[in-house]
Amino acid sequence: MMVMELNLIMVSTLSMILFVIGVYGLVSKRNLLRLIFSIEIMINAATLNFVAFAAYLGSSMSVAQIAGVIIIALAAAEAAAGLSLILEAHRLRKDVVVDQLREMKG
Amino acid sequence: MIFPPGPLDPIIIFLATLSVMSAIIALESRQIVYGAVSLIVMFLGISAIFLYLGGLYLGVVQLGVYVGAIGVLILFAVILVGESRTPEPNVNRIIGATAAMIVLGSLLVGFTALQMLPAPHHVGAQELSRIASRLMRDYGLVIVALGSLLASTAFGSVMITRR
Amino acid sequence: MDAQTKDVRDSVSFWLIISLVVILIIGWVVEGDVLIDFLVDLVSGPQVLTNPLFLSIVFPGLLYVSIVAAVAIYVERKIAAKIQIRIGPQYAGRVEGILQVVADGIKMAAKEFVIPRTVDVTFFVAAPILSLTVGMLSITVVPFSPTTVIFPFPVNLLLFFAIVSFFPLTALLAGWASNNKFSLIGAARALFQQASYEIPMLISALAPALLAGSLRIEDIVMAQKDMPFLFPAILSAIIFLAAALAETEKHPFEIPEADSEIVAGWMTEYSSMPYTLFMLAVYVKMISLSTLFTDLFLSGWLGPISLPPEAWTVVKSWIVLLIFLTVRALFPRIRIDQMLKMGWGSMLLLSVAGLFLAIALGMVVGL
Repeated sequence: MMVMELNLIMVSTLSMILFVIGVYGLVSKRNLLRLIFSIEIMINAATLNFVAFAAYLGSSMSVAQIAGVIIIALAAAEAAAGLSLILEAHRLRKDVVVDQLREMKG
Repeated sequence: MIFPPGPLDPIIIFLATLSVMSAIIALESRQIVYGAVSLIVMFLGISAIFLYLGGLYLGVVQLGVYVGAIGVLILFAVILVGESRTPEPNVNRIIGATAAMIVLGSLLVGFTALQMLPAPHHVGAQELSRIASRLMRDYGLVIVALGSLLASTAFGSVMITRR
Repeated sequence: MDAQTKDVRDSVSFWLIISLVVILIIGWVVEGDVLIDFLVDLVSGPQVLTNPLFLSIVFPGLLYVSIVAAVAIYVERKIAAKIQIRIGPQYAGRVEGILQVVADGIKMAAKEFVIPRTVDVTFFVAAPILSLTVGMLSITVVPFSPTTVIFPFPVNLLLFFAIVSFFPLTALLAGWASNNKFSLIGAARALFQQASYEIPMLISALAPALLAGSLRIEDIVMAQKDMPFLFPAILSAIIFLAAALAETEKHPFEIPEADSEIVAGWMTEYSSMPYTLFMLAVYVKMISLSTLFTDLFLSGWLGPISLPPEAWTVVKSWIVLLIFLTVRALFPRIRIDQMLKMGWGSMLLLSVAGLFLAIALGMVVGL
């Protein structure tokens, strides 16, 4: 690849690494709060890609920012709903481990 | 900012390192409050990258919403819930790392598509009013849907957590 | 007393020098030779007023803010005393206790910074520093005149509110790190209060932004050439003042540090200089909020007679600050549930109503 794209490669690599870290956390952790952390990390990684490529292409920064704002609003909704569910789970189970929430098992 | 041709930008390297390190600490810290604070540091790092790349509006929204609202909310929930009593099993780490490696491999395949990127065509600085008009003209329905989603989420969370 | 203690007195000046050197090095890396530029500007006369180092250290940065905060503390105590038919500070400095703040400062600096054994040392020490940092960040984005702004930014109104939303974070960290029930209750109260009053404040700050058609504070001020936005946006201005009072945790809304209920709220475990840092952060926040109010509603640096633009901003912001300090002595403290009910109920509705009222009145007067 050209030297010119090195910074773009840097930022999209960062986005990729953050996404992979999020996947790792989502698979390996059992604490519900850590799962929320992983999801937030993955969402941030996704937003980063929009901005990185818009900054590289130079023309579509406004579209990228709109996409980012929509993603952030969705993330806010997700965090609010998830955290309230976690608080409720904590109230019922006195702990926040995923494995304990299996009443619905057939 | 348009990516400058030439060598790697040290500021981008610094911010990237900061974000990755704090993301790892967020997941692997022994005390979960440290993890939450580290997650907030990661949000800060990402918003600094947005600001540095020229996404001023998005960077500020990231600061206000992610750090100021979501980060504070997560930290408050972490403080309320406290430490989990059951330790994380070590086997899960290996499974998680394997899954992460598989995802990384598939992402790397997509990475080769970078060669097919069109050449950048530079235009002038983006005005905030342009974002606003696009947001209202092209994405009006999305805004309405998002607003109703946020309102119903807020209402639902209050109903869930109410005793 | 079984406590792990640390003597900060010896290290305060050390850390000050270290941080100054770090700032200079960062400035040197980013902006070239900051110190040499500052010295060149200093000998060349009025050009120094727009030098970045001068802006951040003298006016409207560290020195201005510290002096105004000190004067505000003295004036606040005197006003409260006069309203409550007391005398107030009397002895230090012979005349009306005018050196009381200096005496208090020396007393605070001479005390020992006690770090109890059960606290989380990292966040316990970091919280006051972070708090003052956030306070100082909030003053950097508020313009005192078109050229007198430390950090010029295209959407600085949004940036200001983003920075103000960091304050609950520091309170929460301090409260958790203290490992004390009173601290945690105070921190939770601070979070509820500041998070719920930020929304009416933001909405009422949108009224001048809508009237001016810009999210840049400089543009908002320039749009008030004919008439300050106080008149069309009167309801928004009142809501903004009330919400700003709640944000700064001053007296009718002094719930997070209600001393008769929860000792000193999230600052219970703090003593000596860190406590002073918290207090200074609160006053810095108050100064930046009053300056923002001046810029948004009182036409900022524009005035009927020609003075230096910074002088207008400073004088108007002092008047707003005086309102903040006077309200403190007039009202009793309300309860947290009343406070939250008001914040999510009438304040929110009134701020939205103020937005529409401002638009309607702005159309009437033809802005």
